[in-house]
Amino acid sequence: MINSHILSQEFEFVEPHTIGEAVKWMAAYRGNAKFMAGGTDLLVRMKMGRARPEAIINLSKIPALRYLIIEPGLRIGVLTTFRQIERNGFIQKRYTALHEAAKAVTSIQIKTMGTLGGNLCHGSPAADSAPPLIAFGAEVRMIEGDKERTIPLEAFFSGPGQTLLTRKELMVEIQVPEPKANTGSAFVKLGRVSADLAKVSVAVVIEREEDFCRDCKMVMGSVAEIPLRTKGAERILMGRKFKEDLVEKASLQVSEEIKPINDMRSTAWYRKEVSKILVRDAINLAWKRAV
Amino acid sequence: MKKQITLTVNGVKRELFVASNELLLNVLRDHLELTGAKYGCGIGECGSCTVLLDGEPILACLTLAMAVDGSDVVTIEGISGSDGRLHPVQESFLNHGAVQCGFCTPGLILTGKALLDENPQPTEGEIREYIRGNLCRCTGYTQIVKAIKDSSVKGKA
Repeated sequence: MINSHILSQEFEFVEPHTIGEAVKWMAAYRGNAKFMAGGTDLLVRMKMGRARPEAIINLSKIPALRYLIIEPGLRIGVLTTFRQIERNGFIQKRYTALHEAAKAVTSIQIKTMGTLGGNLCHGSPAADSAPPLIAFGAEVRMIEGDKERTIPLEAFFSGPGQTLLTRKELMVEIQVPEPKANTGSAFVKLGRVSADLAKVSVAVVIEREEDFCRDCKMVMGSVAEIPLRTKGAERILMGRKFKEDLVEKASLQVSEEIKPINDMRSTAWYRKEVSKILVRDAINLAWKRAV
Repeated sequence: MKKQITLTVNGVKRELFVASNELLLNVLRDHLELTGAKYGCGIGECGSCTVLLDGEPILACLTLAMAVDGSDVVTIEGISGSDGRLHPVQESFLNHGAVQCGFCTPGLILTGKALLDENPQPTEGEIREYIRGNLCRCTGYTQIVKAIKDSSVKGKA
């Protein structure tokens, strides 16, 4: 019997102050603990009986995970909240799609609590932060024991609710390269209402050279088992003179490339249809901003 | 596993013994008998458990009590003046009849207060965007938005 008003089981609760202590605790619990950032996904999963950790390792007392450095390029500590991203003027200007994704997160309360790291590690194909970060070429740094690795975010997701993170691994940082000059970007999301998860979302990053689209990245959310880069559609625009019929062609290509499902939020058919419109709008917005 | 924590709730320092699986909302409602914050959905969709944690609106039903040890919490019971005078947002909700069943009201008033604290003259669009995570299933928002707008600096001028 599920009761979302309580957490029915007790667990151990530890609060490390350094990254080193956090991974040591995880090793001590042999991977049977959960790292907690904002808690908005983890505690829901525990209430629903989908996660039963022996212990929660609360990360919020680790200052070394809470920072946002602009250097050029971004270095984002995993505890950075959507609210902090949304309010950062530099991100709004140079990484507009990331700003728009943070803004599109369901509610002010979730934006205040929820972190970028938690959003990614939850592994949802609907994660708002994933499409823009992948489109900007982000990499994520992860630590387990004394081993460390950095991988492209594009390769991080492996299935619905699944990522390459091992049970003992901690994501510590998101690194986003500096966009080239003349780059514009946009994130467009469709939910039933604005305070909802995405039925479909798309991030587009375009590098412009006069009338030509020099480079293009396009990543969709909620249309496949993982946040999906639609490379066929990217190729239609790349290196070509920007024209309306090419945008049309790219948006049709996207609806061929995606593999949506029927679920409580939408049908596969609707997702394919509406993707064409969202992609068209996002491409045009990104293009206009690339000046 | 139980642990002692300290919370400043509505300006009063409280020492509490809590279990690991106790949520901030359980502590407020069951230990401190502050039943203003409501249990709605329990999964972060309705906003009726909204309280201010160090001044920011958060969901008490998705917050572990132990994780906020040392924090400052403000609930609907704590925003009126010490002389019992209502907060301007509360006053405005009354004037506009922005309450029907009342279940969403504490969360909406606190979210409205948080908005006005950071942006004293919000537009209607800004108000609607800020309160979109607080669901009201009876009054239809029109009076609620008007009430928040009216209690802003601009509304008074």
